[in-house]
Amino acid sequence: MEYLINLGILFCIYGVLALSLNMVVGMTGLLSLGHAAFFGIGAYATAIVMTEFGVNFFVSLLIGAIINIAVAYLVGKILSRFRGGYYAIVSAGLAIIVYSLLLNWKDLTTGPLGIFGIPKPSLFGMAIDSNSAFFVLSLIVLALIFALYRYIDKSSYGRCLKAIREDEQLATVMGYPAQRMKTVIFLLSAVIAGIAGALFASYIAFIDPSTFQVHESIFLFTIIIIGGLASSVGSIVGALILLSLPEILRFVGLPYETAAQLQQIIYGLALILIMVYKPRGLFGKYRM
Amino acid sequence: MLDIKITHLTKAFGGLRAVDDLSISIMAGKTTGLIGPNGSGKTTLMNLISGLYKPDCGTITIDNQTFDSIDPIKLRELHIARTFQDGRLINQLSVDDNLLLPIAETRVLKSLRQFKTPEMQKRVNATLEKIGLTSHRHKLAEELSYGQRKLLELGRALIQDADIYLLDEPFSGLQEKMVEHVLELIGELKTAGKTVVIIEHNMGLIKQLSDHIIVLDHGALLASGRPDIVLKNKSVQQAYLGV
Amino acid sequence: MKKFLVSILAALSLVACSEEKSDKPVIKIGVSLPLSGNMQSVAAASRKAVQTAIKDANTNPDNHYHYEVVIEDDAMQPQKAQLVANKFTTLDKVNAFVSFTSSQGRIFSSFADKYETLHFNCAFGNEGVLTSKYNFQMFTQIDTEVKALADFLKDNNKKSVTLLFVNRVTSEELVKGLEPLLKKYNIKYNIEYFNQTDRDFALLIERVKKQNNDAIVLYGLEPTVSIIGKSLYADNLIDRVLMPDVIQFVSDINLYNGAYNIGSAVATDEFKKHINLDKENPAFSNYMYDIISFIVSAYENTYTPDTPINNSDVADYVLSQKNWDGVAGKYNISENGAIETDVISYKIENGKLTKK
Repeated sequence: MEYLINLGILFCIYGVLALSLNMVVGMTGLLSLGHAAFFGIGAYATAIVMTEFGVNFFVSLLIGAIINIAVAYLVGKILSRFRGGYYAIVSAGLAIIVYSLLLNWKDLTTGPLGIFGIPKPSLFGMAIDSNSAFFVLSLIVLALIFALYRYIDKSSYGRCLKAIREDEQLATVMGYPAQRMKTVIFLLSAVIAGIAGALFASYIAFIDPSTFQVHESIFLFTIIIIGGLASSVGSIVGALILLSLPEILRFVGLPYETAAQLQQIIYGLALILIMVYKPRGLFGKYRM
Repeated sequence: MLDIKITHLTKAFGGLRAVDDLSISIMAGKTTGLIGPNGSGKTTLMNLISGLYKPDCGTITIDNQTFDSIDPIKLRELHIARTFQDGRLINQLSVDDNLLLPIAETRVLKSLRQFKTPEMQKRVNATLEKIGLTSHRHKLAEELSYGQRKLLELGRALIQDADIYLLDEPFSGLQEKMVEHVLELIGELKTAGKTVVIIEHNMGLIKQLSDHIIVLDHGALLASGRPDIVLKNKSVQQAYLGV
Repeated sequence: MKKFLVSILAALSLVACSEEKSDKPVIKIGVSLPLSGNMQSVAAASRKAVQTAIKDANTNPDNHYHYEVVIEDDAMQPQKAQLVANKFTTLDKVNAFVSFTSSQGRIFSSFADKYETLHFNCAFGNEGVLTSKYNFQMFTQIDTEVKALADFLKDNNKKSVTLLFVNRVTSEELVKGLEPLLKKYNIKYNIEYFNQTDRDFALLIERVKKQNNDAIVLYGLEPTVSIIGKSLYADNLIDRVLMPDVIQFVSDINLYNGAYNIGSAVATDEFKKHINLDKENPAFSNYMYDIISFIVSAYENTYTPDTPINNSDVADYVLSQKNWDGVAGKYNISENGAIETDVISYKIENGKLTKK
């Protein structure tokens, strides 16, 4: 049961990340490969302020959110000049820059040594230090972000984002400030990714820069492609599949000599099969 | 009732002057046919009025407000609605949602708090009824036939209850029955005293609808006036009709 | 049809027979290795070493326990390490587990504390790893390693050194340990970092050449360390090179002819043959073999008939020992759980390692 609870915690964290990325990619059509950056910033903000200054976890969320808003705002301004594949490349650049900062700004982040001993959250003096309690916290966060996603999706703002996704000029002609609307969803998405980072840092209790590289952004992208673009349910299901499939393969009883490689092959084949039979992803509402 | 005044408007793309020092007036409350051979600058003019292009020089006056260039985001404020030559819809939104787009809240925070209100639903229902797409309301725009897409795009303009309608080839590619339907809808706009500008190649339809015709050739004004007079103009016939 | 069914049954029974059966009580050992990802070439030999050590333990008729191993891939990712540690403790219910590198060690150590499972970490750099009596680190220790490096430089009259390090955790640990010693010995130093993902080192090598220091301490992983090695070799700088343990995982030892390696014991040819290493890099496999063997010896030495296994007693036993002999050499056991071999200096000559 503990093992499943731990898997559940990771599923919640990556579910939150997938929802945040789907707001930008699925809902708005912005091919962002930079989300690992916001994930990392949130994680490090929590790690640093909790370990160095003894700040409460929930206050650290706020600090991470502020930093992510500032970074997302600046980066969003640069990214707004690009579209499609160029947007993806430039946003990947953001992930690379943030990783480099985390790796090299040793006075702040301790560089490759990482930060360990990150405490668990506490609420009104009650420590959330058991895995079950942490799972409940993560699940609540996931549920809230899921509800937020659905709320935005159903609102006029969500409808406008979908219009911008397909034809930004047309959306402008209909009176929508496309630039501002894209900026707002980008900021919101960055904050949510930071919240996932904070949960991650507190759960693992040790972070180092290696987790927050471009490959993490690509992993998140894979989750929402498999689950389905612009789908809240797809984000959750995608996270569930991509996290649990490698773990399920541990129990298949493959020979040790080739287990790791076979697991990767089976995992890759599963993804290919899903895309062959469901090119929009399992619950995709939008075709890029 | 708004009129549009174009004064010395020029727009060039590289060496090509798509609109060349054009000065015209479009009368308020009237239907103006905008005709000319292919490449004469009709759509460019419409794009300039709706802010999709910025003029190189000249001004556009709408209801006594003069602009060097129009920000397309202001079209709603200026009560201008338009359709496009290539029938632009949001393909992965439903018919309903395409109609809601031009009437929903545009300010970020307010749009976050707005869902489909009964008032909005009423307007959508009425427009769907008008354009005859009620039974298709939940379909995605990309699932509609060509004619249905044209109707939807027109419906998206109609639902705005604008004062100025810029319609770029609203009849192109339509079957006879659909042409009748669209004629009827535009007729209603005329009856309501809206300012309508139509780009169209079918002279019969132009004659039927227009109170006034403007003929462009190589971006410049060739002729303007009443349809029966303009269409008999020899230089118009030469340039446009090839006679 | 009958023939077919009989064949199937025969095959199944052969499979059943091939599984080791034992009446002895079982000790389960979990081993977490980076079997996929960047470090998989380093882990391949360790897997073989672990499996051989288990086989050796089970073929020893004097052993009271039967040993089982569960090997899992953690891909060098903290979240996977978390799941593997969880699986080991809550599902597999291992008696002991083994982790690789200090960053993974930090994650496993908290599980060792919580579940009172013996944890052996194969790495140096023990901050956050040796957090309780259940946690051990079996390798060389960073303090010993950096002292040996600094002493080598001092004893060989090197007045200046370039620390040419890949930007990762081990390098930080080395720098932290080396800097005070270099200052103490009045050895001037420059630190140059490179990234594991870099491939063009022209500017870096230029800077190193300009510094013209007496020695170059080179630490990195493949393929970057070999790319740099080739450049240093081409620029006739290789005989200034001193490597902390790098020789354990380089792909072509001949690149470093003339250089020195200081650190852990390199696997002997005899050992490599024993664990069936073919072309794989022997990297630390001797230590992984020793860790399993040591765990076996700890349980064997604390075996009491008809008494349930008590990890606290086993941990106390380990901490009460002073030393232990393994294939990598003699280990000294300290009170904080560090179980280390002496640091060995090798010179690389004609593609071979000679102890100095």
